Amino acid sequence: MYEMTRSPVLVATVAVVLLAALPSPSQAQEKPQALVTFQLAHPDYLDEFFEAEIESIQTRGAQLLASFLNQRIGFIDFTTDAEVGADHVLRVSLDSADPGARLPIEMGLHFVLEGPDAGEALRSYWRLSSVDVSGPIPQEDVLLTQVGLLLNSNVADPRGLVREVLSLVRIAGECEFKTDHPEGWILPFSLAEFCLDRGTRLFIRHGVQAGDVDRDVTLEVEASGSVTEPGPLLGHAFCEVTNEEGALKLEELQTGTVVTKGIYVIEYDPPDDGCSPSLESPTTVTFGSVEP
Amino acid sequence: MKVAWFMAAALCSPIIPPLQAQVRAEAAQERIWAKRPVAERKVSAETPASRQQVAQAMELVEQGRWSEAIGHLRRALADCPDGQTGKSCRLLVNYSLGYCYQLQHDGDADLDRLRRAEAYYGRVLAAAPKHPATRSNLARLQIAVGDAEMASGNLDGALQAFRQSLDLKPDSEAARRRIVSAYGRADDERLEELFETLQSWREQFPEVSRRGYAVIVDRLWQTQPEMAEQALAAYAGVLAAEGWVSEKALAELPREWSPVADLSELIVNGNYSQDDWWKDHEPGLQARLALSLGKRWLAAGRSEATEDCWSSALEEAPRRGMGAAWIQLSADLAALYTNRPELDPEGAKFDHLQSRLFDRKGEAYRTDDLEAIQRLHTVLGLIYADRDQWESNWPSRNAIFQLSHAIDTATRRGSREQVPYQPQAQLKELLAKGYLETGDRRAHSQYLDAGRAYLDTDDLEKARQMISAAKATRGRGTSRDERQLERIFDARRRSVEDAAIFCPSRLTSSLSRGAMRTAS
Repeated sequence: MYEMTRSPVLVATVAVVLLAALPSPSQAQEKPQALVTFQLAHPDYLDEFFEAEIESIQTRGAQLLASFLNQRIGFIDFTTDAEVGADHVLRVSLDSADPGARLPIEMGLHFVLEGPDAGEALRSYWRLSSVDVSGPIPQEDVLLTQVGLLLNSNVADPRGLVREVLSLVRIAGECEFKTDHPEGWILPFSLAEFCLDRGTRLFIRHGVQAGDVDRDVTLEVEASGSVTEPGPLLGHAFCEVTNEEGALKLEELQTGTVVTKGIYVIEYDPPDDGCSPSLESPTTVTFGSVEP
Repeated sequence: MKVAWFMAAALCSPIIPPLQAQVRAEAAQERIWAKRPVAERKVSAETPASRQQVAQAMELVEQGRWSEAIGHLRRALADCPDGQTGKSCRLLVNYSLGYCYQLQHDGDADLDRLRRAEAYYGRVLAAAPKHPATRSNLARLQIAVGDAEMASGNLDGALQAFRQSLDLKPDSEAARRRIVSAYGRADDERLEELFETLQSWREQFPEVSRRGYAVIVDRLWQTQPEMAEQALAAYAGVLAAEGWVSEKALAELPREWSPVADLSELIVNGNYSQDDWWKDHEPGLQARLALSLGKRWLAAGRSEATEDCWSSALEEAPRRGMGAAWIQLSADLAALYTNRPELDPEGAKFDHLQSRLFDRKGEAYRTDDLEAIQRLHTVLGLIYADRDQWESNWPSRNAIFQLSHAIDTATRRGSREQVPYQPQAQLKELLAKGYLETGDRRAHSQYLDAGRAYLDTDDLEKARQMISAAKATRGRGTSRDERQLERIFDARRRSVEDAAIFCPSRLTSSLSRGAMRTAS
């Protein structure tokens, strides 16, 4: 087992191996954007509603989903505005568990990602319900309420969605690698800005050029703390290798010129209290019956 | 702005002496201030005044003038009246001091500030043990304490802090993740302790448990393979229960270890190993894995792969003791054949499955196993209902026969085995539908029966639907049973509406229970 010395405090000088400068805290790193669409896919649903109703359900459903995802996954900016030109599209459809089956036995949300690096296999499914035996398709508001209930139930699995679908969204393209102890990467954002808790696992893809040979090296790292040394990188997230395989790959980085190609979240740990937690200010706190 | 505070704090803060000495000095200073004659105190002891002082201190905090803010608050604390009269003043100022030290910390590994914050919050909780904001702040603070202890290599200190955080905030995932992480660096002997902890978290916190099991496998597969097998079986059980079965999910496990290779072979190629190492640890694991994997493939449009996966698992069932899980597997496979006729064009596969379920039911009757009898009647009833097979030449091969026997068996179990009452509302509704489809006059009373069962499950909307369906199936007039049920329904509805006057959410929750039931 690779012995890691994890330290949230960086006091040593940062040895910059990578070339691009990280944005300073005043130039916050922008989050990647993903357009969220919602589609009623099952023929029974399409037959049940008029065209205008379908459009309304799809628009409201997309807004519901984008809002939910923004609350639960803080490192991507989910939008329903097609004009912003998001790199990725997260297509969510309400369909049978077995799309194309003769009878729907179970309905659910299917998630598919489109965009750079998004392969065919990137999909996830959240079970909405077993189809009610008495069978009427709910009206618009009830249907959206059911989707809302699903999102607030334990069936919704945002971390599974990250693992299976959103792990191929590149969240940043640059970082700094420091070679002195503790060895690791300084990311171009703080943990709080991207709503990551310590322990979140990321992939960092590098291009290593040695002579005429140019190869890709991808390492799995763990967000382990923040830079606390005063300076332009103060507060930036810091990541370290935590497994043996990564430790071996680290050596490969020493063999040539390294360029970061992308940073990806593969196991997402959100903070307990949401993306913008704050302590309750003493100016507003009350002590109930204790206070006169 | 925040960054500026921390930089200013770093520049303004004096060199901090050892914590104990510092805290003692602070307490002494507070006592000196408190001994001044009341007339000399700058601020009166009334709460609005202490609020004012706190507001002033927070303004200093906003400007990054931490030391001044803390000094200001300490003086305010000394100005609080003694005894009960000053209680609220002391609560507020102690909270504010804790807040300042905690805010000032923010990621710094220096434990001193955290310990000071902890001490001030401790004073608040000693007087108001349930104060939510203090408990919440302290829970977060203990996480920071644990992180700092971990960074300094003090695992026991870290574990203690994370556990304290969990005591204050029992649903915390962050604290649990860190406990797993701390054990990951502890000695091998302590991993059994982690396993026991994970078993108690598994249902409610599957994500953290999965990671913890992976830690145990990774650490022990070479030295304590039996313990590692147990953890691997539990890991696979979590994957199956949560629908996370995939090749990718095994990436964090040591592939060179044969049980992991077995699991991978099963998940990737559907091949069963000869070695049933997981059988004792997780009964029915293979069936549950197959179910989960098949559903995943189905959602991805791979119905043939699903059929292959589920039928192979059923072939293995007799040899591998899959327990009750194989019944679910049979039900899902039957539904697949119904919904995908192209997978079973001659119907031979369905017939084979059906025979197997009947054999099993016969065996359950021979051994008088009422639980299995009920389960098999239910599954067969649902399968036939799914195929709209309400009647048949062979008396038992239809939904009406199976559903009515399932409901009767549930009643028998209640009287014979003291099994708690099972409303069986959906089965009763389905049976009523069967009677309706076949023109059977029992539809009316069966819908009423389903209505009663829905009332028993507090699903008023479904109960209302059942009463309407019953009305639609009878001739003229109203039956006594119907009137009686309507009266009960009206009374229940009124009680929910009355309650809603005081608590509006209750009305919504009761009326939308149907939607909630399906969503969950």
